[in-house]
Amino acid sequence: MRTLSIIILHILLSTHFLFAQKTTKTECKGMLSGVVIDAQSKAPLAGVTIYIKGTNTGVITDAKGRFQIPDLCKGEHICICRMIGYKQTEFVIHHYHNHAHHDKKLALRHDNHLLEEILVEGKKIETATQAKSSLSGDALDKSSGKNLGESLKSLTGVNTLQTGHSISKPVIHGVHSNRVLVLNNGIRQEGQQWGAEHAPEIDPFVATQLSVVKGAAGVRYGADAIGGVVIVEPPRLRQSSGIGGALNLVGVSNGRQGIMSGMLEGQVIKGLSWRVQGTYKQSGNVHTPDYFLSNTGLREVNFSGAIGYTKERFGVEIFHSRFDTELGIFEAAHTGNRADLKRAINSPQPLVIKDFSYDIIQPKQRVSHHLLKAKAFWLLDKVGKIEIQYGLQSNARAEFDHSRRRKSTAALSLNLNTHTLDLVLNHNALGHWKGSFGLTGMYQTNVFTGQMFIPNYNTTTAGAFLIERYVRESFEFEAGIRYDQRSLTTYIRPTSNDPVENKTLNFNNFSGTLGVIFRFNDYLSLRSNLGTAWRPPAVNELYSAGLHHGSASFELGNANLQTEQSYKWINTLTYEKNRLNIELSGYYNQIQNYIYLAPSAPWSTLTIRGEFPIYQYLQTNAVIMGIDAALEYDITASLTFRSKASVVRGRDRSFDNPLILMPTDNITNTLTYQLPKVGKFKKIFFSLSGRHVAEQRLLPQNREPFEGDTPSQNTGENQLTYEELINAPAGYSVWGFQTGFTLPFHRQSLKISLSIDNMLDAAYRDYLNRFRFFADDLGRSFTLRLKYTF
Amino acid sequence: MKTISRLLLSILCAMVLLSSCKKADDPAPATNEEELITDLTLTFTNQANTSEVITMTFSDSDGPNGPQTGTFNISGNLSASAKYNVAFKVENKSETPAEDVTTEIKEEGAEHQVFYNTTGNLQFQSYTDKDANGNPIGISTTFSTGIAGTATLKVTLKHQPGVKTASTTVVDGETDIEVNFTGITIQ
Repeated sequence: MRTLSIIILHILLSTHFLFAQKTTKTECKGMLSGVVIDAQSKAPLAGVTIYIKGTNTGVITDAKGRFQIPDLCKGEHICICRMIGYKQTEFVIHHYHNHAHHDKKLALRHDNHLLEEILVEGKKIETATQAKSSLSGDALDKSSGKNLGESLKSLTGVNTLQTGHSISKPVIHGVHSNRVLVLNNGIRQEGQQWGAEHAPEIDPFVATQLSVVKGAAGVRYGADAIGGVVIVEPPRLRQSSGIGGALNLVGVSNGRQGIMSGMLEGQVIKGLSWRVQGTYKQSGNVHTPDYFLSNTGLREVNFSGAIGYTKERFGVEIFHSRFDTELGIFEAAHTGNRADLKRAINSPQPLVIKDFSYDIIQPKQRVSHHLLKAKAFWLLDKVGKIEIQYGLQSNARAEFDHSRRRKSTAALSLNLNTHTLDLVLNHNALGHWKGSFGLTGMYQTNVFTGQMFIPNYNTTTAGAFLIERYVRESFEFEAGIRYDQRSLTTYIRPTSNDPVENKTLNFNNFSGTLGVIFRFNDYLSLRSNLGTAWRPPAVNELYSAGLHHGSASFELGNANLQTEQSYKWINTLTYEKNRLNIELSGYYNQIQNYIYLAPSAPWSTLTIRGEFPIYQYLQTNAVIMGIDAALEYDITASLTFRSKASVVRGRDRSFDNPLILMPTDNITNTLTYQLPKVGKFKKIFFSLSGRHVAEQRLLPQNREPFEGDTPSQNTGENQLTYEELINAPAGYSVWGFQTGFTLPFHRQSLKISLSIDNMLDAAYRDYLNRFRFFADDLGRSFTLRLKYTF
Repeated sequence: MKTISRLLLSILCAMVLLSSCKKADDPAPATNEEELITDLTLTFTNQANTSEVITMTFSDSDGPNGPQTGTFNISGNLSASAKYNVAFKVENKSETPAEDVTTEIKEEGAEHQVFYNTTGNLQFQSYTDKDANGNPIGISTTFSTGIAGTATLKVTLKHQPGVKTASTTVVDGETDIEVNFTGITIQ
């Protein structure tokens, strides 16, 4: 039965230099570290012996499957992993260049005693000193079927800005949308990310790892990454012969959702591999404890394919993905004018309640996103590793109104095409320094039809960066600098009969990063990073002019906006010893010229549909600071307690006022009981979790004149008050339960889990959900997940 | 830095050319295809004296989605103690010739209703039109005036797909038009 022949290694190789050591053996100061896990159950394997062939150097993995081999010499080494019940696995380490290599993930499939090779050549060194949290393996499987934003929510310090249950955007340390960059398979995702109700067009089933970088990561990823970066990483292409794959089936009771996702991969000849993957998702109207939410269904069809050829010294890869979704917008949240909105806000139940249906009617969104990526790398002995990457993205978004006429045409459609090009050199060590240098470029065109909300434009961005690291045994130092230049040309036709006017704006600026890691001892380490990032005003902030139905307000751009500049200092203390694991992180983000939307003169406009308040983009100096804390304690060998909490405070310094839409203080506690094996079943677990969210009491005060305060000439009796628009719902607690097991047989495995969300069917509303004004959040829901791997 | 930018740009341009298999991205916007309602006109015709015609218009040249504020125009004073036939008309004057949207509302009468709320010396009397289900639409109505004085009149066009019945009111459905005429004089 124990013929498990596959071991996957997560290799983390980093090299440490002893500065003071005056020996000629500085060539032997590399360190190989990593985690050994069971290829099928993905469980960490304790007690695996790893040694370098022909030496006496050998180590045994600890309870979490981790190991460290110090004093690794330059050269080629054969490492051997051995454990009773598993086949002996060998891999080759090419350790020539003193690069720092982080999160190197490699799959070893040891069929027929093939000697597989691992090229220990890192590609990323950019975020070493910044706080980063990841979700992969079992933890990622536990949230399968959820959208990207919801999946990321289990990471400390990450919240979601929601528009109902189907649209959620990640909020990192209190900032979101244009200030958070999403890196999808190495390419910066370019959709219409400025819109709070425009979710990232990414299928989480593509990824085997979702990570969040929580610092100002402007240097490596370019302008805009003020708040942080979300990194979506697909697995590496298959490294061994044969064909494999996985099938995911997810059923969710609330919304009667069905999700099916399959992946198939193979190797044609050694070095040439392929993978195809697809997902289908359908959901109907979801329900709260008391009623269904009409028109909240969605349909999603996604596809991706990749093919790659890799040799020792060079490799090429082509990746294509397509994401297609059609989703209904909750009917009761779509209002014709302010009187409608006031009625909807003040009604204890939604004004429109309908029964369950899979039908998606108007208002709705239809979005499709294509990504084509081509990537190549070369290894040059004297220089380092050169990578070149080109990405083409085509994003088509159509928004359908409650339109009387031309029902089949969208009220507004936007087509955004983006080309990106990245050229990166990870150079060989120069003395004690190693690092990378890169050039990036982006060209983008946006064209709308129908109602004008943002104008047509094209942007050209070019940037260059350099990041260097200096590594010693007990500390690391990192510094980076980047320069970007962006030009934005807009094409506006003031009225239908006017000629097109075009206008060009140029922005350029530097970003920087400075960070250190101190390792006080084996258990305690401190990471500190000071990063700056800048963000040119986005086209909607500059030029938007239109009615926003969701908020029944006019959003006016402000052509005088200046570049936003952020300075973020983040410190993370990590303590890991025996059964206790603590991570504490504190940050302070000062954002100069912070762009926000506020009621603005002439306060309102009178249209044939009634009167609407005018909001305009303004700038202020803001500070966002907070604390993230995570604790993990093994009460017994099989009982684990986990807790994570985050607190964010945002302040408008110019007006001495709290910032709007700051995530509320929250804490999530989970108690997990896990048995490694019962009969044929493995990894049986039961977990109970409670999420407690406080009420947001720090709401912006009405310091500026607000139009709604004074009756106006038109519809005075229906004015919304400032309080009605700013009001935060009460705090809440939701409980969840999840249980599951893994059933391995031969080379396949079946993983089944059942979870209950909002177990007590609590009626609650969340401050960061834009539909909190109109309806409760989702009621109790059962989810059955099945994953078959072969 | 500039040379680097140029170099990158030229590479990008090459990429753009290479990938020109898809449709051209012409950044110049097409003329506005938006469906607009720019003008509302209420025509009051005195039942006793059909040559007495008063019009009340509201004009919002960029439509409900544009930021420009609309303007009111009332052509004259209503007579005291009179009965009026009132015609409701909406148009899109951003197109030439102006497009009459009223006919479309009439065709979709089962989903629409115009509601009238008055204050002062003007009273709404009755609906004189019916949709396919026998419910009022509100394109043609009658009003009456009291003694000399002032009045206001709020006109609301509601879109009530699947909702409209004989008893639905101005709070049901979504608002397509809402215009409040103030300063109406009755003499």
